Amino acid sequence: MARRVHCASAVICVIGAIAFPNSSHAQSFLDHFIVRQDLSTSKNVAQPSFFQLTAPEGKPVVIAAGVGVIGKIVDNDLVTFGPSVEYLRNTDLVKPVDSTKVGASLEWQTRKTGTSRGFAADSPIVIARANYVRDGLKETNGFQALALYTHYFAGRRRWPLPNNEHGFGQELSLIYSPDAGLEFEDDGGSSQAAPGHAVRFVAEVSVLMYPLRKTLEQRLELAGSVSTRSDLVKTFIYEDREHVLSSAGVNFYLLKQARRSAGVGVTFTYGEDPSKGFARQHVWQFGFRVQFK
Amino acid sequence: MPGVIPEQLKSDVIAAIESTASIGGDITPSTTLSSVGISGFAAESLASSFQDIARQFRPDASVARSVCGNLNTVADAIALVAKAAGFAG
Repeated sequence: MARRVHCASAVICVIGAIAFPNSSHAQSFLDHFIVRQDLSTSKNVAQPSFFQLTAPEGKPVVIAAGVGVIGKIVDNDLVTFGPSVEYLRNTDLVKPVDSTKVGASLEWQTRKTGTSRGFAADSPIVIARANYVRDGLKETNGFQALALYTHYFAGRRRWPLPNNEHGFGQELSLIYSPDAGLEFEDDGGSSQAAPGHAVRFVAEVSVLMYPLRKTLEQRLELAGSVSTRSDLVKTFIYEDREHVLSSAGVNFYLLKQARRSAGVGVTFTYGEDPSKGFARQHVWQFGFRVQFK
Repeated sequence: MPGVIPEQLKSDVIAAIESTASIGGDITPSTTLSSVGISGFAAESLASSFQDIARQFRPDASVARSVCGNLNTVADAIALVAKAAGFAG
């Protein structure tokens, strides 16, 4: 127990130092990166990265982590583009996962918004990624490409519209982000897995709610998401053509700034996501959260 | 005149924020953007308007999405646009 507490204390200190450095140079450096759990979702409803340590008596410490980082090379009023790394690892599961993706990410707001300047009141947003993928458990290497479309609405709206935070009084707000697109995956295989490729239709919706919004200054966050991947073409040997992954969770941010946040959270995940090597199962996770939007 | 921020720039920035805000509330320099529903895409989408405002004073001014995403208050936004327009910093 004492060992777990020490591990937890150390992680909180490290996360705090990373997310909220005193040095302006360090903050300026961190401004060049976006950090969240999953880079394929929109940043509006992105879930924070998680870190989880398990220190069983007499056994090695098990580390579970889900983190994605985008560096910003092109960063103007409409486009953010740069190299990206995404890492999902949890070997303490019934069906463990160990996925590393390295590539490039793009987020493109296709038209200018801002009615006070004569620009549009809404805009399509395109999210795209291309990655080398390594599955550390199956020892396979592959390539993935993903393109998603979502739509952003600016300003006050009578009804909740996508990517537009909607208030219900002062103490509750909701924001949701639907997106859809295509995913291509090619896997070279290994002695443990056959090679193959797939083209999938991807549709997902993520929702965030902030109860006690004004009182807690948006520190309490309820999150939910459902994604489905439908195989349009596939040569992989698995049987299912539909892959559904859903999750629900609660985060409480102990430290929160405009773009950076850190806290604790619990998430329940059910389903499967072949693009991450995440086999069908359900998982409870409690851990530390960090996010740079 | 570096250092003196024109009132027109301030009012244009506040107007841009008011047109982007999705949740009610008075917009004053101390207002945090998140309190009026501006975060994520909404915060970053301000870059186009802010750049347009800054270019009234300096034609080659540019404002990046990620910088707008870092803004905390309306006063921070005014300072950002003023700096891009060559009035401060």
